[in-house]
Amino acid sequence: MSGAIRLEKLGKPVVYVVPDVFVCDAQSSAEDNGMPGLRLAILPGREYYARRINTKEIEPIALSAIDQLISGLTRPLSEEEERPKQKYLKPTETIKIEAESYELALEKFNQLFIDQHWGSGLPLIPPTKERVDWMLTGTHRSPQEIIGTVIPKNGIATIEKIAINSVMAGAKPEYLPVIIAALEGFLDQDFDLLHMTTSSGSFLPAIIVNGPIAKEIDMNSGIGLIGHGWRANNTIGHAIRLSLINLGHLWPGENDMALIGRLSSHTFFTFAENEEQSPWEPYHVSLGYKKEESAVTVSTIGGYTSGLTILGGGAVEIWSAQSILDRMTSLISGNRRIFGLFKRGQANPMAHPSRFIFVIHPELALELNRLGYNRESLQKYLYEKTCIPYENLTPQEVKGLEDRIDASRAGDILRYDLIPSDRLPIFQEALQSGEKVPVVISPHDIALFVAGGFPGYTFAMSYFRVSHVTKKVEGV
Amino acid sequence: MENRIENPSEDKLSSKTSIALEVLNPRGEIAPLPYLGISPRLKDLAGKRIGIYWVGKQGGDHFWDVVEKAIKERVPSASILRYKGPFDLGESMAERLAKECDVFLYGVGD
Repeated sequence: MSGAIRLEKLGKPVVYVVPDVFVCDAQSSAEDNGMPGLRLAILPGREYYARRINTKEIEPIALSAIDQLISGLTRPLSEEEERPKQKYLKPTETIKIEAESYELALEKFNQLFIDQHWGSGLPLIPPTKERVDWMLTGTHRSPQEIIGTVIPKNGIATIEKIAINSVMAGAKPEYLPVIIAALEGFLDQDFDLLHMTTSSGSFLPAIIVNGPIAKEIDMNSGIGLIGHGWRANNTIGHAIRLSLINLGHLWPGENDMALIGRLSSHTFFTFAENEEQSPWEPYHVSLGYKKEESAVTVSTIGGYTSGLTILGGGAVEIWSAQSILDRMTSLISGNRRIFGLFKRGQANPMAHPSRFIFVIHPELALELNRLGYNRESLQKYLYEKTCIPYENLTPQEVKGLEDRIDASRAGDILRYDLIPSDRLPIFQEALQSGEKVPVVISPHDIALFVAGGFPGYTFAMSYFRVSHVTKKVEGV
Repeated sequence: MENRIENPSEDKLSSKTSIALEVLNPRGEIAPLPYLGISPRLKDLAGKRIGIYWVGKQGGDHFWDVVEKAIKERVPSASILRYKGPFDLGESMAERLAKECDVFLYGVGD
């Protein structure tokens, strides 16, 4: 959409071609990009996707669009298209709900909020001023402080608005600093929130908490860590869900196009590292934070292909440290997206390098520790063990990596496909006989957390755009 | 504002409004963005250079192959240039393409 608008701004008539199911999304995006009158040619989605398999099948659909395409480029502009009127309405600060009883008022409130697309589908707590003020006692930060804007419609995220959504989610004031830190992670310029929240691929966020606050607010890091039954885990995730809806003005089928919804869509994968049972320093300490500080790491998890893969552990099958390490290395080295034939921004997920999170159950972490591994050496082991001998690359894979290196040098590459300048020599030198080529851009892209109970499972989550972002919990 | 839980059975007997629940708006304010109009259209496409920009999603090339052929039949004097790239083609590519074409068909987007 923004590309079509760039051409329009250069004085070129454009028709944006879109299947009907994405019309609302396209119109919304045109508004978000400041050109609400961008002309669309609309295809019947019900037939387009099924019949694009070859030219013979798609021919009737394409031919039926020709009049729209030509008309869109030649039909004179209407006054509204030439000079669109600003539709901005300042939102009211409060909403008043009247009823004969509190129960009826609560019901009216919940129905109103879901009808307005302000809810998540679960029951909400009314964000009265008193309750929001109570929520704000959880942080020293000013209610008016702005932490950023939330895509797709760039709603302004103030601490107060986050607190309102946190009340609705059922959170407690002491959770608020964690919720704010998680949102700061999602709004970081290195994080691709737009793709996660709007793509048809049904991606979802992971929110992992480290440091003393996790225990203080009673977060689960043991059995059932990504499940229900823990107020902190569940309502922190729900507060993020509601904040994305209300600050980003996001709604399924309108601009959130996750075709099958999302795993754990209301509360996401929200858990704490099991620091008590881990033999290693906490994850955030390995990044340079102090042990007495708390931090939240956010990441995206693949939707229908790489959401969660169990690698071993549990109470049924026997396992060994080596058997799970072998599965970890197999999972990483089997993912050769970094060698994908690279074209700048082409819609080819197979050419976007992957990033991994491994959640290691405490029994395995203890065993690995006994074998002499710490987080850093295990990360190094996985990184080195998964390198591919140069001789095993196909000519197409070599070309793919060479193209990626060239594009990274020239800066002609999307940021999540980029090999950073400090890593370029490693890849350049690996492209020769006798060398081994990494399949991840950096060891940092293999994040290792210890969580789960006794027994537990070790599992993997991966994604292919941005890496994991960690933010310090502030304002407690 | 009054936040009290009444006996539901009492409510059934009462027809007057007795609760006013005032809640804060959860929506993030959107800073008003200046809206721009679209570019003037051409009278017709005869002799014009038509750019087809495709975002590379599978099967889109089949769609555009048919469109290209049909437009050539409809407007034989027009020339068609095909491009492939990301959703947002970026500033430098936009400037280059704008020099090479008079109008654009952009997508298929989803």
